[in-house]
Amino acid sequence: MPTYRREQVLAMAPDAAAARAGQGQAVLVKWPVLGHDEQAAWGECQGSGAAPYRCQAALADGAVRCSCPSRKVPCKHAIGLLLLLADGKVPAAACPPWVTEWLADQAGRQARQAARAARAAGAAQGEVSAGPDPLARERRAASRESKVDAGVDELRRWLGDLARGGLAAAQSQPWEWWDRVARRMIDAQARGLANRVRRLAVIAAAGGHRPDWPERMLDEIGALHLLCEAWTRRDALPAPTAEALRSRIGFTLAAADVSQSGRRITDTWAVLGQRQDDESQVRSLQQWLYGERSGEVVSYLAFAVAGQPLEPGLPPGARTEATVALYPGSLPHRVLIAEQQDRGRPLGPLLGAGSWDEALSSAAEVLALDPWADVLPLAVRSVTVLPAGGVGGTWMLRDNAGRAVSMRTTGPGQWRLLALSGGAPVDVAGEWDGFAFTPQAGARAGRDGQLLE
Amino acid sequence: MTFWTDLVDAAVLGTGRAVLPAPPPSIEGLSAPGPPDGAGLLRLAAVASRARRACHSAAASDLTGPAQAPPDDRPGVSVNARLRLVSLLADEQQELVAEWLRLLAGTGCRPPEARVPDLLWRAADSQQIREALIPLLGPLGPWLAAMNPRWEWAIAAGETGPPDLGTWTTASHRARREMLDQVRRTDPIVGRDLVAATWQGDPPRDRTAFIAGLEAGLSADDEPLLERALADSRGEVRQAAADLLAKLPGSAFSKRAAARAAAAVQVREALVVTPPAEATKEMIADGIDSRPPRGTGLQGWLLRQVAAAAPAAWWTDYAGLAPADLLAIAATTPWATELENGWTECAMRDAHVPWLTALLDRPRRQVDEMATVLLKALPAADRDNWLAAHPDSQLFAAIELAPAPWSATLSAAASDRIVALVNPGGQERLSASHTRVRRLLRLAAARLDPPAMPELDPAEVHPQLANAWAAMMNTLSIRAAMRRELAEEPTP
Repeated sequence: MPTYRREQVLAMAPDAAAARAGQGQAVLVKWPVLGHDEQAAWGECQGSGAAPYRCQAALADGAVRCSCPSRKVPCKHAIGLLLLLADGKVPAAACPPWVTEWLADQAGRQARQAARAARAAGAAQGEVSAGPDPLARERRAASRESKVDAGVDELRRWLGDLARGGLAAAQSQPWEWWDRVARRMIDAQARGLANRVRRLAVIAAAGGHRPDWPERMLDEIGALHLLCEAWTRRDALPAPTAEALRSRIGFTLAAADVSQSGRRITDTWAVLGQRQDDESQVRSLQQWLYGERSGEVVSYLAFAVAGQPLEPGLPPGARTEATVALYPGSLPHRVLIAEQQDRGRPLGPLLGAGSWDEALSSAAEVLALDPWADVLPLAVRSVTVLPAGGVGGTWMLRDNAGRAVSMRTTGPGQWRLLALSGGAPVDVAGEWDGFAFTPQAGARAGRDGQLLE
Repeated sequence: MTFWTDLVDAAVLGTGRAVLPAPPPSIEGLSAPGPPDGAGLLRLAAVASRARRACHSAAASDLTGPAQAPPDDRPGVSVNARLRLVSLLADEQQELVAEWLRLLAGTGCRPPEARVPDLLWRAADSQQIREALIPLLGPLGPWLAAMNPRWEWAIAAGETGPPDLGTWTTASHRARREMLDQVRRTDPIVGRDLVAATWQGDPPRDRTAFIAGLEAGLSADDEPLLERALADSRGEVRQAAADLLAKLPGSAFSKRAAARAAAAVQVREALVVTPPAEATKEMIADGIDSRPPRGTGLQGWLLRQVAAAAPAAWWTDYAGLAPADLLAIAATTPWATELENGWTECAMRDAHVPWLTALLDRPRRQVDEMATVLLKALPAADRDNWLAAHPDSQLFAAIELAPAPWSATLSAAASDRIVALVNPGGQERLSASHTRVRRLLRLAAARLDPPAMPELDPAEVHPQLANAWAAMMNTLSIRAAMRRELAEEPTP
């Protein structure tokens, strides 16, 4: 049975008042009828009216219904019910008919809700929503393409100037110098180009203490130039590359379209990496999902503007049976979760390639379809952590074949992996950015994997 | 040098100054020969950077890694317990991290390996995390610490061997005092012999500190050395010795003190109090101060000290009265204050529970400092019982003296008290100020025994206290969950 923790339940509350009121309902005496089984928890709560409110929660997805008049979802009764459940105070019981009927009705409701939520999140990212009028849609699309045309021309000229002046000169430019161009790209509705220009600014800023900055900068400039060229010749590109191009430039599809027509994969997905940003104005969550049977690795990405809840993706550090729908375009594929069949099981041992070269061999294939693929999720078995000799030195990860890649050392990840290993070989999963590897999950031989975030 | 690195070098200078390297045949075929300017560099960079990514392979490495850490036989904590620690660390909940570690110590499990670096980092800033972590580090801690200079303290932290007594004569003042404290805890006689061995030559500062150091493990065996110190040439040494001798009820010192007390106070129907007229040589030799502070009479000053020097238990035996009765009849004499002050001193010195509770139960108009000091002098269990029995007392605020975790008795009392305070429908219509109630809620969040968590419908909590209440309940539920999760089945 899926389990809930108190904080999880409180986080579901639509606002602080509901969370408070919910805690007030989490008192056994208020619930003359109370029970749960594998699928649901339910109870009758004595409210102010004569008849008690019937409140129920589907445990798989946290969907709730209550007969009270409150418009808040979940209402305080539902929160109270789930809090009691989290505290282990709800007894196991046979499911009454009013709950089974509702559960049966859930499947359809869930799909509709998912589509709605995906549309809302898409709107936050400036997706073109498919309006009902096809002519108006075409006009909008044409106008956007000509804006991108102008932006690409401007960027190409700017890059040419940068190449003539040299990277050393560019590296000493202030943030505003880069940001001005990035904002021009946003005006041109090419958010993907803007993000890459900002990335150049970050590489320039870190230049002082990252000796490989010229390589990283030229790599990024090469990718940008290739985007400009490809955009100009987009009609001549093979379909998968054209799709990758559009998504790299900043065209995104509405989630509703993806959930309707995107390719689907059902698999046991292990979440072996997660990155959550709660600081920015638009909060985001990114997860790497490793498919056990398909061998596919895909990226779940969710955004939420202030006050909106972040769609949680799959349980981190667990294996979950789920169906994902793939966005066309950039690789590894971005996905949305179409259906989640269970609540997640322990991660178990990590699967992975036998060596770095075996893992890295996927890069050529990916780049042939999406030449802008810059971050590759990789999993390798039995690697040894080689800590840097001194401060600022390079940490390496060596495989069984005696070959090693360098490790990114800007966060605490390398120390956590070293501690997990205790000097023995470990299995790892993480991100390869073309220059260094960032470990995100690890497992000692014979033990279950765990996230290192 | 590869074409890519040549290209990077050219790019750093820019095509205005550098000549573009000639591309190898494999790349020339892909890219039409371009102009030798910025556009040409961009074209080569686009193709070469993609090619570099597509062909990247790991480099051979013959560096030696660190030797493996010695194995740790302790089992691992449950997955839920590990995830709890991860989230406490991420939320910077230092107090809860320290509590989690203290709970871990009771399970015999090892801390989750991957989080040991985070714990070592936190321990640098937090004394309580450091104290809780050190005994739990196991072999992994020193192994890791050897690789990061910032963790050097953890290398030796696990080793607490017996002190080297050979250095007693040469070590610094502080090291000697620490050595004495450590030895007294395990073997008081060895400790006393150390002090006695160098007594003759030690400077007054050492003599004072070492006598005070005998308090741990104090027994009648220490009396000869203490008597010797009582004849010391320095006042502070004599005072330190008198303080300890008074704690030995059977000592000659205590018998002398009792005889003086009996001469000064006789018990008939009422108390007949005859304060000493002057400080005799014997009294001064026993540490009694003959110079009263300004504004205090000599007789009262001596009486107070005479009353204080006798053992607390002796007083009740001698009078055949309970402390409360003795206080009551003393109140009718002109020397009530001096006697009460003296008794307070001896009650605190002897941590004498009947005396301390009798003094605490004296009617008082407001919470004074003395009451808090008395409460502090009570042994923990008796202090908790007293607080639990007096939830309405102003002194209940002194609950903050009770360190975490609160006993079940105290937790239950605090829980009831909190419900009464936050619920305006209850009897106490917000008699206490909100600031004080919030303070109590914060204390309870961190120290209350989670099973004693108060139960109250938040709708009944006074609106101005609702946030503080919710914060307390949230912390308490996390602390309850920590206990549940650490009790779950361990992992290998």
